[in-house]
Amino acid sequence: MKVKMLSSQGYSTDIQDYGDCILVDNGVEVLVYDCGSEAHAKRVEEYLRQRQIKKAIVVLSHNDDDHFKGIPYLVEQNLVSCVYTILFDQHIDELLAELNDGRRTHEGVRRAIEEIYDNVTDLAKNYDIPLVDTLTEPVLINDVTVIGPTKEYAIQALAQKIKDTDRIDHETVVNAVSVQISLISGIDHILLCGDSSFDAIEDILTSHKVVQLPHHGKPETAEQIFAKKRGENDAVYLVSDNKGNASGGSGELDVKGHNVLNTRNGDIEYPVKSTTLSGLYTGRTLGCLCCDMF
Amino acid sequence: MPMLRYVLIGVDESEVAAYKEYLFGALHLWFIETPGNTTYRQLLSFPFSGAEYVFVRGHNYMVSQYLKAHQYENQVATVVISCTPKLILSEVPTLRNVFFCRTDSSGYAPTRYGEAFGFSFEITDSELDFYNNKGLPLDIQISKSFEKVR
Repeated sequence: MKVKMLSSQGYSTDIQDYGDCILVDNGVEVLVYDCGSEAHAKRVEEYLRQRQIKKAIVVLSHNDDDHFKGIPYLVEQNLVSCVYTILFDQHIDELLAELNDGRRTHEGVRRAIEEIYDNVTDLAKNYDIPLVDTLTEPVLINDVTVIGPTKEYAIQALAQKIKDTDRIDHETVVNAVSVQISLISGIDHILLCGDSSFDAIEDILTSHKVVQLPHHGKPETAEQIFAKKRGENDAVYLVSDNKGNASGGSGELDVKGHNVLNTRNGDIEYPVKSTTLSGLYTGRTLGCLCCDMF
Repeated sequence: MPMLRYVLIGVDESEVAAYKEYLFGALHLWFIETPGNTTYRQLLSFPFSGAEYVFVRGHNYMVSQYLKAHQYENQVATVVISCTPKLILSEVPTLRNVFFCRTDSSGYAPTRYGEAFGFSFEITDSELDFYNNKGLPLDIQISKSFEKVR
């Protein structure tokens, strides 16, 4: 299993924000977790061509432009077999129950969802591409599954937005309910989580050695994650921050003491190729074989 | 405010700056190098007064020789960053309130590539924990990062 987090280093500086794009390759299939720009999408196209893979599965964590904008290009180039994301229009009854507001109708909630997720709605309308709901279909490719958000959290959050409160757990609702996926790479578990809130991923952090710091390394969330995983010195943190001069927030994150890899320094590949940047043991110890002197 | 005596055994002059930077980040204390000898370098936290904590880092034989030669009587705690606790402690039976870095099942203290964590020296897990427990009262920072062995 290989993970490649694309960096915008070397891209044109005309665009401020290239967004996220993470390739997951299990040796047989390729999954694209978000694709925030056409520039990223063209690199995905080249990767698939080199791997001689005709189509990839796309997982859209949430529909903000910096995660979505490259997907139409991939679809137009016929490189996508299906798109996984949360399809709230398949959970309208549950939303109505959560809203618990006698004034709202099924049709009214459906329109609200279409408006919030207008770009996903347009993708479905304009292209003949299957959309799959991650709340009901968690299995993606071999060794990769959807692990969050829980349906309860997602429904509760979107209901809140429909009621006109667009923030939950210090994030916008759409960010907070980012689709989270869990990958198995050898003995390591890797968590990719888009722009998730800390609350949405708190319970699954300690079971993952490698964690994407959500929302481009936003310091407040990252520090909560560091605290939760304190003592786990094997942990590796991945930051996708391709926001050019307008730092996604990771520029202000204090990473000393933690093994943090950031796309601001180039593409990130996991497993990490560089031994010194892997955070692994050196094979050397304090203390030496002169114990025999005693 | 406590005073910390940080003894580095078998460390090049080029690495001393890296340790000072590590200690400032972990403790928000400035350390100044004071005369040691040919086998060790000594950093003292400023101001040079207060209840004393002694940290000794290095290979076990040299650490035990240092502790035998420098039997501080008034330190609050001694923190040893080395291997094979039993062997070292047997050489200094009167030393009290001693903490040791975490060792593996063979009694060795493995080091990680410090560069991955922003440090310019190879670092043990206990030292990493000590850094990441910054902000806590010193006694708790030590007890959460090292193992009390006596």
